[in-house]
Amino acid sequence: MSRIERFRSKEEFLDALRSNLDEDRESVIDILMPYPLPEAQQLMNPEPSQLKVFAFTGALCGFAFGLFLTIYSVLSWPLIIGGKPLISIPPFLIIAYTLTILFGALASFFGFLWLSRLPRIPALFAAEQWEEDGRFAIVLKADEP
Amino acid sequence: MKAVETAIALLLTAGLVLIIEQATWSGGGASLLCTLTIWSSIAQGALALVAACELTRARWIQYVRTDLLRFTPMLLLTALLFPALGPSLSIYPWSQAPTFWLSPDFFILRNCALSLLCWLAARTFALHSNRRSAQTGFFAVVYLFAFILCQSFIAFDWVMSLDYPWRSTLFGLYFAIEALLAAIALSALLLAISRRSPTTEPSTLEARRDLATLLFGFSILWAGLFFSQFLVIWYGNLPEERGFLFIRGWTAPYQGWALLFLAGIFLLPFGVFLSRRAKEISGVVSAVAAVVLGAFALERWIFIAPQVAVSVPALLLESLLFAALSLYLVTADRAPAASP
Repeated sequence: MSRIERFRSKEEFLDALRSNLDEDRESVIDILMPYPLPEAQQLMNPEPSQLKVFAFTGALCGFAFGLFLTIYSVLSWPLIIGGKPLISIPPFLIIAYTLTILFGALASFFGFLWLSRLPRIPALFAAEQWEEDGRFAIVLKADEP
Repeated sequence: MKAVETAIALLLTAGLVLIIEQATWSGGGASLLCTLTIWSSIAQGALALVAACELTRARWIQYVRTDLLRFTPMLLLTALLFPALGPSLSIYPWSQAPTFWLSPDFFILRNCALSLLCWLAARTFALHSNRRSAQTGFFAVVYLFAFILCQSFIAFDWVMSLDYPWRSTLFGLYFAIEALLAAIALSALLLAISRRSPTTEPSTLEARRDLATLLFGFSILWAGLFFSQFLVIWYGNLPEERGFLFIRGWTAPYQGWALLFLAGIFLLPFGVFLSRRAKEISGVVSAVAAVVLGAFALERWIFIAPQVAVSVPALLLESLLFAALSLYLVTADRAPAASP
């Protein structure tokens, strides 16, 4: 069972959230806001985000894939250009670097969706009604009867 | 009185540097050129960093702003020492067949004038910055223009013309970015030795994190510029261009040193500051900053040494004198307004 506490002002909402979390962290099930408040998100999840793991892994994979792609391409279509060796690392680094950024960015984006449990289709429709209300709310565990 | 003390310190340093240069083992001007190239970039970069932070209203700079502004008199010292290179200009290959631009008199004249101009711009900016005047932003922009101009001349005139007729249009920007990188590393060291109290400690932690992030970012920018220059020369493989890289990157003993400065300026800060925790530990940030400064000096030596014989003992002694002067300027409790 759950109960909802509603607040008109941001300050009241943040104070109530802080005190509820101090009393019992587990009692707060969710928070609902008409617009995102970074302070509230920080209070709810003080642990450092795991997003960096996605970014780093994506970037490493991108770098490796960039090198693989370029080396595989020149081996499949061997053309000596400018007297350089077939596998010339310096120009390959440009492709590897670009793919590092691309894969890192994509992994961060999808990692963000995963960590935020998005997309939540029902919440999209629920939010529409919530915005009309324009209030902040804390969803708390209800006391046992 | 403080201005007199600073003037005495500057004259003493200049005198001792000139005595070292007179010694037969000093290498005939090459070590002075190397010292000036290193320290003028550090001093100019320190002021440029403050100017850039004034314009962007960076908060972290407040912990080291006064210390960095105290490097202003060093700009005057480098301007005063530059004419001492006059008798040694035979180290430049163009001195055998001077042109209008590359002629000994004009070379000394324009570089002295520019260094003095840079000092004047820096002094005016430091005065306004210390007074927190409304015109600080304007003088910050003026100084940044002077900084870019001076760094371009250090790159093109002082260093690149040693390899005449080799040329690279990127060299000026490369030197300017490197001077800023050295100034960020210097700021990290100054932050570590600055007086702290329990009340300011949390904000110092934030400043240290910001500085480490800047060091990380600028090391990547530096690597980007380095690679841009390297790739074009390597790919073109033109006889008149590749010599510069070949001597420094593929010939002993410079090959090993070149790898070392590459690791010191790029790989180490990049690898270490990927970790958020490392950015918060004073010892780690200071150690990386010290390595970056050392690698920066090493790179400047590698730029000059293959063309002219640089006496390493003379270079080390002169650098020690400049380091002692820096320490004096930073620790002496006075405002740059009193600087000569």
